[in-house]
Amino acid sequence: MNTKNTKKRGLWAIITPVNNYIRWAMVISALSGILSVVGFVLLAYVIGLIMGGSIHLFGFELGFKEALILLALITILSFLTKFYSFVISHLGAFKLEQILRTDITTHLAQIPLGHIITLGTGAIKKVLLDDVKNLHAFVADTTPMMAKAIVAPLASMVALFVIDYRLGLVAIAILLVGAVLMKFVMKDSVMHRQNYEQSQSEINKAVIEFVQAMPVVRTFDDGTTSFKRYNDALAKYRTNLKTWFGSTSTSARIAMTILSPMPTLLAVTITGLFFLMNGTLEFAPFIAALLVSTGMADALMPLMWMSNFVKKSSAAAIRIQEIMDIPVLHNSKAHKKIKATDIVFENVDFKYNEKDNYALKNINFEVKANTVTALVGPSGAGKSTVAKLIPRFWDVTKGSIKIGGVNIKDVDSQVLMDTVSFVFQDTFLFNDTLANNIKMANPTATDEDMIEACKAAQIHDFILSLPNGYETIAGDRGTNLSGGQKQRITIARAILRNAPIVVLDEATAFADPENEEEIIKALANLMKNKTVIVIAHRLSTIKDVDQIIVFDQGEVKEKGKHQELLAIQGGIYAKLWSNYEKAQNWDIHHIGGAL
Amino acid sequence: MKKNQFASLLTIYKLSVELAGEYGSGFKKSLVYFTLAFVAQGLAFGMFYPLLLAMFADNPVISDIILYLGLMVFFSILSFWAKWRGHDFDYDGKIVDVTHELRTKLGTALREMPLEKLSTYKTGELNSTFSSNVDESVLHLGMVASMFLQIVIVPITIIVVTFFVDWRLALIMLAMLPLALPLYSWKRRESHEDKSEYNQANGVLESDFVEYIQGLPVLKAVNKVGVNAQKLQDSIAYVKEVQKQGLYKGQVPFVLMGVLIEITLLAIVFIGAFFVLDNTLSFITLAAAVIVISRLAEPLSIFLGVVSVFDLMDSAFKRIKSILAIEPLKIHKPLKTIKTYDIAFDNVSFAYQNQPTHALQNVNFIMANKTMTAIVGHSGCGKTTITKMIMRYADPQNGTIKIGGVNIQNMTPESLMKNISVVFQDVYLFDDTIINNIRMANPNATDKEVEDAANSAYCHEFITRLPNGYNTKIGDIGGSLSGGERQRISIARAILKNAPIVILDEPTAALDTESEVAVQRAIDKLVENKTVVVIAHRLSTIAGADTILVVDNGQIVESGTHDELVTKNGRYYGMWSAQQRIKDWNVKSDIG
Repeated sequence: MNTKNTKKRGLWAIITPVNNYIRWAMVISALSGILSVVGFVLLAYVIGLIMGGSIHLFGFELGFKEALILLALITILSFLTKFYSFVISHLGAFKLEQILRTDITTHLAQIPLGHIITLGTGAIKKVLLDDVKNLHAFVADTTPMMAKAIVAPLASMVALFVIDYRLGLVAIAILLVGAVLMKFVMKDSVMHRQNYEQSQSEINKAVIEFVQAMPVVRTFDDGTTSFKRYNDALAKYRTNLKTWFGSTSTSARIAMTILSPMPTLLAVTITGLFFLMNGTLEFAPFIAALLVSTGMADALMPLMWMSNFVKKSSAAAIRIQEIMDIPVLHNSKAHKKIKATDIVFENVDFKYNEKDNYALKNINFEVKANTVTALVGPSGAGKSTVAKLIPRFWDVTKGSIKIGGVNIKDVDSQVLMDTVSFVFQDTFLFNDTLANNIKMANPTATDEDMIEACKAAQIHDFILSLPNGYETIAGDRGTNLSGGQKQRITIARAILRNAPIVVLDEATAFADPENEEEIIKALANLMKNKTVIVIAHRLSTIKDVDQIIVFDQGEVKEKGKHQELLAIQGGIYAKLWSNYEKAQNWDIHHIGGAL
Repeated sequence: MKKNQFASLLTIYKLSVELAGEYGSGFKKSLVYFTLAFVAQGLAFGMFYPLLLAMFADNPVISDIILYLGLMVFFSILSFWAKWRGHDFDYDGKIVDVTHELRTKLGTALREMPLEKLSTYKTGELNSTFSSNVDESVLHLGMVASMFLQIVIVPITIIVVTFFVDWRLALIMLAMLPLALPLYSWKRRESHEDKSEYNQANGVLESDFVEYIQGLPVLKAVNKVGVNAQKLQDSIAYVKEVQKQGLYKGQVPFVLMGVLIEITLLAIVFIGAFFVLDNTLSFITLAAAVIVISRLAEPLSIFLGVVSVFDLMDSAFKRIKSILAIEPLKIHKPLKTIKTYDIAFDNVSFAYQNQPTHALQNVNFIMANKTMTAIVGHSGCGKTTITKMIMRYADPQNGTIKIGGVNIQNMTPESLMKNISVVFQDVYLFDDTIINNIRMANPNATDKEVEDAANSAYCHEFITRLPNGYNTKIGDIGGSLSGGERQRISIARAILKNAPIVILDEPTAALDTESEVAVQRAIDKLVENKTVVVIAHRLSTIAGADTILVVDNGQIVESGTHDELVTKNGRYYGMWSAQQRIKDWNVKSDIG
């Protein structure tokens, strides 16, 4: 896998909208790195100047006082550069969050709704909220640190060589030993990290199973099965992580020792002592060398911290890019209008993914305007998929779908949405008043229209019974409405929208068995004078529809009216119907003790 | 201020020792080593004072130089050695044992936790506590401890050493360095404050995101998406504003700390210069002081990075602790076993946690041994709560539940559950072979017995058609099992368990018609000769029950056989006739 490459590209690519901020923050941060090295060198000379004398710098002669003022200026500059690189990189990070969130939400509105349903609200929310937030560590903290981590050691090295090249060589020698050892520490770390990550994901799996299955575990398991799997996952994790730690333990400690400031200081002190003795080194350069020599080793520690941040951020960047990579629904520029509401499927093939099998094969049927068509078949036969293709939750892989003779791809998505209403895909109520929730379907609707719709949806009386009536706030943070009440409110919304085509999934319609009668009445009102496609489960409800289309394994197997289909010997519908009747008439056959 | 500092250090220490659990002594030992290491490091730095003085003396004495250099080397090696030993705790993997111990404890807590408590957690939430929170709080333990000690002990040692050299320089250091601590607490307080405002803004943003995603179909239809989704855009912008404000407030101390060492150096040189000119201080000593102080810059800046790690550890551990603190349900003595399987509710009242209203109120009934009792009523009326109480999902606030005359609180959870099989609406199958999924109900069952159970549950046939038969892994075939097939496997499991009490909670509600018939037959086998409690929405299913309990608002409002209740012309009759009416409804009929 070449994930590594993708990762790198991912993180740097995703920050391009705020490149300006990042570049400035990095430049200023690098400057602050140079300033502190310069400050240290100057400091050494300032001490030398206390007893008098002067140094020459760019043609200026500096005494103690002047040098001290210069030092103060450098300290102030060092503070300012640190502060501004911090501020700029953070502002960039905040701005990036805003840009990404706006971009992603805009993009979400343009991709097929099917993707949103498949991904799930939770996963998308996590990307929008957490993953965008996780970029922060990289953009705000890591980029300036990175610049400094590269520039500061270089500046230290240059300074050291300028002060005394021999001491420079000593410091570099120590650093090289450290670097070689570091390499040794990292030797098998890729493999170990993979093992570790794998055993960590096994723990995740075991925990999820353990939690989700807890009610079953309590009834059926004496602890041997599921708890054992959890414990096994823990044991494996322990072994893997310990092996990893064990394999690097010694070299990590040696590296830690070498890279700490002490070895460099000792080496510079001892060699410096020799050069002092033979008179080839003076006081101020020696002190300066002691001050800057550890600058190189010091920079390595933050680098190790950084790698953690980068890893977390790049995983987030990839998830964001995965969503942004989902292709948007393609709309032709035709902007055609829909004038009639008959629906035609022509040689439609469909698969959810390149790799998947066909979910639908060669589907052909016609639905006449203002008729009711029922889609039936065993679960997984393709009936819900067909329904989802009509409002373009997904696009067909091959063939075409036409409404009123117009290919739905040639229609603006708003027009299509106005034409097709997919009831119960949108039972969601916004955190707003009931009135606004219903009226949003049709901005031109009057209060009277809305009340009419609510009456038709059998929810008017209930709404009036609420203390605030139509001004009651619904949604997460509002009044608790039961499933059935929410459903009827969304039916009212659909009635007010008055789209000429209604697609309806009966299973979700009756998901909440409460107040079935009212829901049925509401639906009957919604379907009046509409072209209706219903995914049917209770076969008794579709006995009299104009057309029944029977699906099996992604293909249309039978078409016709109830009686016609029953007449087919050994037909699928006939079998479904007989099963249905049996299931309806079941009462639990209990052989028990006498009362 | 001082007190606060101390308190926060102490909290960190206590937290760490608590985390280390039974490995606490190993952890404390590593703390001792670290302390020694940093004292030695401070002393090694301190050797610069005599060493530089000896080196730059007018008449350098070689033996002095070698002595001080030797001491510096000695203290350095001592520091390396102690640090090396200090890392025994984390680098040798003891720290992994700590995570292991914590996770085992968490797993046990989960098994014993009342199911009511468990249901208040989201799976994802528990998962992140078990996996990432444990790692977050434990794996950094050694590193954080060593950095914390370094930032405290090295400066103290240096200041003490400096006192012996020149007390005035030590005073300047003393004045400057402790500034780091107030700044540190300033930063923490600021970051806490702006975090709470930030968290609030994020909370609003989160629910706006959910609303946007779930409402997309509607929003698209009215073109309120992307930049037109005004409310969402406002929330996004608001989060940015809050962050910006927090930036200016919180970062000043942070950056100040970053240049604290530079400012200290400047002050020391400035003031020190006067002493040097006074001839009360050698400029060599001043140079040594500068070198020594400059060594504090790097640990301080790393420490600043660690502060947020500490916050992370703290909150991770709080979450772990809150789970460990949940007490399992109490088992009353004396322990009793049961011989008959009638179920009696005596005046049971129960309210869910944090709910103002009762889910059950003064519920009284007896389900006789080997009879079938149906519970009916509107959704949310308390039907499922009754079955949960039988399984001791939680304890009622009032009243008792008895099985075979024994209060279920006098049984261990294992002996209670041994007597009960449940068929849920949602089937859970483990990612394991089919045979293991069935056998888990009775680990001692032979292959033959498992097959017999599968046969009775009408799943033998489709199982044998699978590529590896009973040894097929559920995960390998995943979605290819239909809902009905999965449900029948779970019924086979229940049949194998052969518990005298069977609870059915809408077992066929989620199935399509085709699978429903097979599942129904399997259920008929399962309930033979059992005490059966069934919840069903379709009343015809339970018309044959020995007793029907009609529940409304947590109370039993009617009970009797189907015929009795129909004659009574009450609540049950109303439900029954409504179901009869809609039975004949079809989409073409006009009832609006």
